[in-house]
Amino acid sequence: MNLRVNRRKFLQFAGGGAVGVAASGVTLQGLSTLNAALAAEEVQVPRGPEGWSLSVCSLCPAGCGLRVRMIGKRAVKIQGNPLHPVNRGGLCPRGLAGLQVLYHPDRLRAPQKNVGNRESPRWKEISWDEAIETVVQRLRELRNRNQAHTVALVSGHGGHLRQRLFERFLRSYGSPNSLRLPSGLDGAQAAAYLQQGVSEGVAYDLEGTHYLLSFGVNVLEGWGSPVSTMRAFGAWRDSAAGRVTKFVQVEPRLSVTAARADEWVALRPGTEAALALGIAYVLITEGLYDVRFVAERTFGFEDWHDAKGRAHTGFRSLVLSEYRLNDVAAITQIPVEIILRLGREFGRNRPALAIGGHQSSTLPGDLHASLAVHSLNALVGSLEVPGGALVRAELPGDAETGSRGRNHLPANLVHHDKALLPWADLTRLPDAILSGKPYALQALLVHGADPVFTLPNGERFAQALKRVPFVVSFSPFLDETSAQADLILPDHTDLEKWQESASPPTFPFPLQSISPPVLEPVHHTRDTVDVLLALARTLGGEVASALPHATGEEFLRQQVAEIFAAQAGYTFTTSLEETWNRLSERSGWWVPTYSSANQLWEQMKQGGGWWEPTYYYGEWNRVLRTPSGRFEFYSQRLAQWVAQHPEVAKESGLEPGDDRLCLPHQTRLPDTPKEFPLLLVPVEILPLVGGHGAHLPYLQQIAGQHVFAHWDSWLEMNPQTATKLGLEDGDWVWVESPLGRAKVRLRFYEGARPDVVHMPLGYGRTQGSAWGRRGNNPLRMIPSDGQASAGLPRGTQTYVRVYKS
Amino acid sequence: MPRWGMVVDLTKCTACQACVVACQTENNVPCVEPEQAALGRIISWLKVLPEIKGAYPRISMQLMPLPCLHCDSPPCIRVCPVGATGITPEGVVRQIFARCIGCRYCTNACPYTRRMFNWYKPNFPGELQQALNPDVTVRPKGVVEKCTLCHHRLMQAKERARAEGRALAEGDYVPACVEICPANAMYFGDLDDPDSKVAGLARSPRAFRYLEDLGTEPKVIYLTEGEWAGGKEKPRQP
Amino acid sequence: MEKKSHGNLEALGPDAVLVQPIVATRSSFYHLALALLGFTTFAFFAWLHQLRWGLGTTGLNVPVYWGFYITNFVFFIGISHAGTLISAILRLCHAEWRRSITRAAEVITVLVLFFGVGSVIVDLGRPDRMLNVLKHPNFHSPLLWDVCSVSAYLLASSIYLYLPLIPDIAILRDYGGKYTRFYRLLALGWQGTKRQRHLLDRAIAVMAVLVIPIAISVHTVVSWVFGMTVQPMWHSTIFGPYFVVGAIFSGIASLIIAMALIRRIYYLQHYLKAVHFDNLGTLLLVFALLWFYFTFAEHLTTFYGRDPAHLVVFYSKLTGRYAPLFWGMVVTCFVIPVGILCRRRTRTVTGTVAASISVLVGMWLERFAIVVPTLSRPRVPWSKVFYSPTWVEIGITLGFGATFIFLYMLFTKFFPIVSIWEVQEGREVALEEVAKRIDSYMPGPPAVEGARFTAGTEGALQLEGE
Repeated sequence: MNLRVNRRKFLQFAGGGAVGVAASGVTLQGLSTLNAALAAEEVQVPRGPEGWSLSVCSLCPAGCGLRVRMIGKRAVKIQGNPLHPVNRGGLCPRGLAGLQVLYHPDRLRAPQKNVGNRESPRWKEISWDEAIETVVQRLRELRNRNQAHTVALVSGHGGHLRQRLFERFLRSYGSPNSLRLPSGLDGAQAAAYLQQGVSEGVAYDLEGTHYLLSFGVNVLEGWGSPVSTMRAFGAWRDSAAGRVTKFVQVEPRLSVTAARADEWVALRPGTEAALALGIAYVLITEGLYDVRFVAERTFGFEDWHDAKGRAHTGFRSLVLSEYRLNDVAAITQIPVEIILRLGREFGRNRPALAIGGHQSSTLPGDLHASLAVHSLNALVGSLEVPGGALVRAELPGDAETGSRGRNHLPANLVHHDKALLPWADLTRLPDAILSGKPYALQALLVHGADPVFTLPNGERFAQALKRVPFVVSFSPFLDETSAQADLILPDHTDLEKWQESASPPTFPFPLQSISPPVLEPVHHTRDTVDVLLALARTLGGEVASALPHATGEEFLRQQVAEIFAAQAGYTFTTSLEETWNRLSERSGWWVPTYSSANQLWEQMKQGGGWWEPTYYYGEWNRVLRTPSGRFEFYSQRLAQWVAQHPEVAKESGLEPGDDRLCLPHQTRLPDTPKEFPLLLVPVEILPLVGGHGAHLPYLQQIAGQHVFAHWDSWLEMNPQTATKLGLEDGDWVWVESPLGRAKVRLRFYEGARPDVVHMPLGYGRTQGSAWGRRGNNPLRMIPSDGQASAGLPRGTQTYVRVYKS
Repeated sequence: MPRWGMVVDLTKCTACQACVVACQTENNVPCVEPEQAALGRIISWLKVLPEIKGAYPRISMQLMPLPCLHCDSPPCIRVCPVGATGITPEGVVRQIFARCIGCRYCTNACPYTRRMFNWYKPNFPGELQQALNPDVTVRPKGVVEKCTLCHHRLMQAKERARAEGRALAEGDYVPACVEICPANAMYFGDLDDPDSKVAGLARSPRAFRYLEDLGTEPKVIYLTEGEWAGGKEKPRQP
Repeated sequence: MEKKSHGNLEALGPDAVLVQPIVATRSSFYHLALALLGFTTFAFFAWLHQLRWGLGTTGLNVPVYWGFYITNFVFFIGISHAGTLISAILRLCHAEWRRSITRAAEVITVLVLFFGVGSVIVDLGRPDRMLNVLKHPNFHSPLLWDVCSVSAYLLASSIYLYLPLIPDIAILRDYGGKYTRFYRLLALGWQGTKRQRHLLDRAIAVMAVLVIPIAISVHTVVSWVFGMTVQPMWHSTIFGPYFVVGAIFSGIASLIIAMALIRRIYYLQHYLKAVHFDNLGTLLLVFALLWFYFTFAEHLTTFYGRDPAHLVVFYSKLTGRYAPLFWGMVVTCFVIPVGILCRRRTRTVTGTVAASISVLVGMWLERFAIVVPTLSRPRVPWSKVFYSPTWVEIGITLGFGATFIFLYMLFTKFFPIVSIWEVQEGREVALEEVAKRIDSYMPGPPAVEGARFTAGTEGALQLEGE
């Protein structure tokens, strides 16, 4: 080939190029045209009449009231409902991100049927008629085979009346297996059950407390009812009111909560119980505890003899003998002076409140830590006082839920009378399914929950799902659990359906919000309530008669009628009126704004709901339902259960019959294994609390802001440790536990303890929206057998090693 | 003429970042792809900035919500070659999206890094476009954008007040971030009205302005964290 | 090699070699041109890509909003000082050795300015709106000052290039050959009359005086783009002179390289002699020292002041992420050139060229080390995002460089790169003039007829006129 270029060829080439350049727009006009032609620029935003509608958020169990701005038929902004007592106009970032849930491009648009197999599902869109017919056929068949009890329902935390309907459906159909996801309050709930005898409604008067001592609770990062907790935090620090309340966060890591607290006390992970008991030691030795309360309302404080005359150690003796300050300082690695000061402050600033003892909503905490922490509340008399630990009264209509439907049902799959705690533990479901005992599960319905992703033993859950012949999911998105289903019947998202919610966790007052749908469904989805009502109608028989309602709205109306029948409470009003109502109610006057159930219904729709804003303190029969009728430092329920389970003593390294088994005590910490020198503690962050939210860009963009990490998991490590390991900030590293390993980006974080590393929960999805499929799920590296054997909640400690990838 | 300003009480702030998301939804701020976020190209008119000091366990972390501070003497508006940014008589530092040539001089002149650039055409995939607020233009690619103190809300509040035949009252006009704050840590109002809440707080001994020694005279004023002064021993009566 | 009748060039005598590049073009020229145009095309494609998708296609990020493009802008504008400033100063000083190098220098100025301006346009998010600068000018903005001073500079240096070109164009017109019409148009009817000569001399002298303050203002204003902000290590009073010194420094270096290439390719060893390189090398040495002085002063002040915001940037340059660039800059801008140039033995053509290449690299690094580290460490805590360019930026940068070289080459194909008439004039009258001048300040009684000094040894800069 002739490579010689002469002038002519060259000029042709160069000239052609020049013409091309000129034509495609080096001239200014051309540039403008070019730019406009290459990319259509303007995003046109349609206009329309403006309107506002109320709704309820169900992105976490709190159920904040929403006020939605509508432009025509579009929802363009979510704000807080200023009348709603839970959030009073405020909202957390999750609630605000609700718009991205509604308009998410990866929502399921119609019912999906798995036409492949469980291993490699292939999804086919089907009609609602076909979908419902498939479920009805299956349920009918099971009922005809007398296997109705082999159907289970797993549900999340959203909705309360809705849950009533689910349970009524299940019971009337003939199954006892209604299971709910574990919650972050399970530890406190367990302590309240064992020490106070109450099985639900753990509540705190956060706003009224003068001293909040939190043991590792993510107070400001999604715990309980996030927005009302933040409101309380704001109220503590209101400059006009004077700063009375001190908030102390006890936690190994400098979390956002710890950073925002008045004081952060860094302790050795897993030694919360010892610190609590060390504080009890200060309270007892310095006479700072509430002598009268302890004498009148508690059991097991002093040494005592049982009916058989056996001598038992009291709480006081145990603390005085085993939790002296030096011992506690050695266990917790907190200086003696700090423990002493904490004890004094806690004793002197009343009402003081101690909360926590657990790690996060997805991981079980150590039961004894919860017991020790709750004991502090009893010591300073913070039960049933303003600013103390309370027990929420039941919502009218709750009591009878259980009784509707069939009376004689077979035993629950995972829960039985001999269990320590009165609620079913979902984490035990996989083992029950895999073992086929007490019976094989034939069908599983999953609503508002993603156990495969969020449970610590999610992988085992996934294995177990493969054994269940029929799995139906109601998830509006494809997630880890629905990916294992045979059928997905996508639910509406919040704004498209009738929304309702009861009191959020830790909220002291009974409450019920109700809101009609804000807009037309965006896709061919259906409210699961309506789906179940349709199923009930088609199934006929007992189910149809238990749920004769034509629509979900009708069902809700009937439930509201029960609230009306209770003749108490008020519809949502301004906080000024709230104060007035409370005042008049204490004086014995109840002046409702409504006079009929109908009126109540209309007013609830208008303001957002109904609540009972008055707490009646000192209803001891209601709040102390232990065998002794007192607060039990020595839990007799625990004693009874331990007696039936001798293996517990052995696991704890104690003699059978040792009183410590039933008294709060510090459990033995495992030694650090040589080959895995770092402790891995997963952390919950507000944007992804409960493991949900990774598919929402709004939340991905704000998660990890404290280490400037976005859209991906990160590993927090103290720079000192990293230097020792020869690692640099931003390195890709492997985190390896005996169970598995994950590749994550390392972030230097001064707030991490040198021997501990942290990973955020909520990342590492493998199904659904690409936005959510980022990072790694630390739960996959954590052993989940902590409580499998006996059912005693026990904190897990996972050791890992970290090395450069 | 009012002089709009904001007070952020750092004592009350929980660093929940609700303000960040509220701002995004209100002002049609697009979310960027993860790969873009890794380059730091997240567009946020309001951001919570962490500052960590000390070594474990004696360590503190400050988390500070940082919108555009609407300086009275803004370094950004002086440098704009085309006058696309300026300060309104009411003290709002505004940006004319349609005039901006995208030279990013203002972004570099702002000592607070509070001006954002549209690296790409904003993307609202799928139905997300439905959630756009018609009161705020979606910015095209290649221009700089920033916090406007929800200026459209001011216009609406003024219209409403005019229709009702009254003057603008305190609380009529509040930006989305202030409105949503669950801990009520943010206040907004007229700094020139000596009786307004913000003016009162701005006079507080706890008040400071971020990097105030630069002479930018911000109208977003922070209140320092302060400390628990020791409580009272007497329990509150039930 | 093509041979074509090109009229009678014999009249030029030995200087005919100066027209040779215009008369004949070797195929290697086209090969090189094609290669360079390849880069140009690639750069154009990269720019289209960037226009299509947005500046997101670059490696720029938050907070590093400026990167390669602005570095190139400062760098190119810096190089532009090669020509006009140096040639104007030499002209005003009657440095006789300037005669054969001024043109080569002036062309650099005019051409490279386009790329300086181009760099800014490429950097704009909305280049389609760039005329807003005229529509809505904000005279508070240093960028607008830049627009003014750069356009003034472009205008002035174009005239300053063009004026001394007129007699040479007339030569090309008169001796026939190709494009006579083109040359006739440009020659403006130059006949070489006394009046014309006088006018031209006056015009050149006026322009030479005018162009110096403009040139200095250009780079001062460029420095003020940074200096007027409050950003750490940008907000500095010495930036004006610092940038000007850096600009002249890189300008001399690029001139040396250009001269060496011309000399080699067009066989002009007798026009661009070792002494030129020696003189320019000495000048380069002076500026290397000056540059070091400014750099040292600038960094010492920052270090000593210990303003924390400044120190963060300071350490990121000296010991941090940007340390390789910073120390690379010190080596290439100071250690290498001074090492080479301070000894007469190494201040040869090769030596000065090597030093110049090193300086060019170093000055680019210097601009980068000024623009980027400040941005990457803002006052507010920010994520650790680092800037690295993408193919788009690299492509456009290379394309700019290649296009510049191509246009320079193209210039040599249309106009003599060594000023014919000035060389001739020098040969005819310089000796006499210089002798007169020296006599005028020589102590002692007036000299007798005839020169006591020969041209060529003259190296000192004289400030007074005749």
